[in-house]
Amino acid sequence: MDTEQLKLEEGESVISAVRKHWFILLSKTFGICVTGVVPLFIIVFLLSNTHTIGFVSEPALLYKPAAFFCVVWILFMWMMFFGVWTNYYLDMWIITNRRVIAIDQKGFFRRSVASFRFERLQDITVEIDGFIPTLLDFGTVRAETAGHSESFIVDDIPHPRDIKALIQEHADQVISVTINPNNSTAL
Amino acid sequence: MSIDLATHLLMRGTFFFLLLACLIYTLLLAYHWLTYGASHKTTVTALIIYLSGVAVCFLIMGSLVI
Repeated sequence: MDTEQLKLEEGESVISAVRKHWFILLSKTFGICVTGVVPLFIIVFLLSNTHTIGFVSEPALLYKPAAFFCVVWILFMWMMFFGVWTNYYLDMWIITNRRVIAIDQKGFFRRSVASFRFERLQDITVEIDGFIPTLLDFGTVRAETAGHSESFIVDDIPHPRDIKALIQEHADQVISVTINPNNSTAL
Repeated sequence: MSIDLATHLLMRGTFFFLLLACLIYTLLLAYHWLTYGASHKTTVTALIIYLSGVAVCFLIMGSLVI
């Protein structure tokens, strides 16, 4: 599992690590591809029709600068894609046998890491909103905890009902151990 | 037939400016992946893919400018 740099407590183990659904990365990548390719087509079209448009006396003079700025544009898009990929990869929920660690990466300069222990979990809700999320089974999981005024929310995660079931199952185990310490073999 | 001096200087200036900007961006990106990335193998793979794309772009730009 991709959590080798995570600092866990003694006896704690990672059960699952979830990132946003692949469709989110795909849709952002598609947007970048379209933004990247459309200007290139426009430049090629303009260069191949300079005789009809008639704004340049020697079109061949434009080929080199046009090629240069096309590559500059592609480089921008490449860097933007990696920014998106970085955000996607570093943004995750890690579910261990004791708590949930929510890592929220927003750009390069904003990152929050919060966690809640299963003992503090009060309510957990799942929301799947829209045609594509229903089709591909991804949505929002919202966890309400005691002592926190704000909910823990993760958007666009795959199989949110399974995630909810997993968290509830482990929360129940933790609560059963808290009530009856003889059940500690469950953890 | 060659492009005029102003265009050539603009391209050259853009090239070196981008080189600097890209270096800073790459350092930021690498820092994030190496510090927060959950798997070392994935981090190295991602950085290699990123740097390969950047290198190809700069090689093409360099061949057009220098």
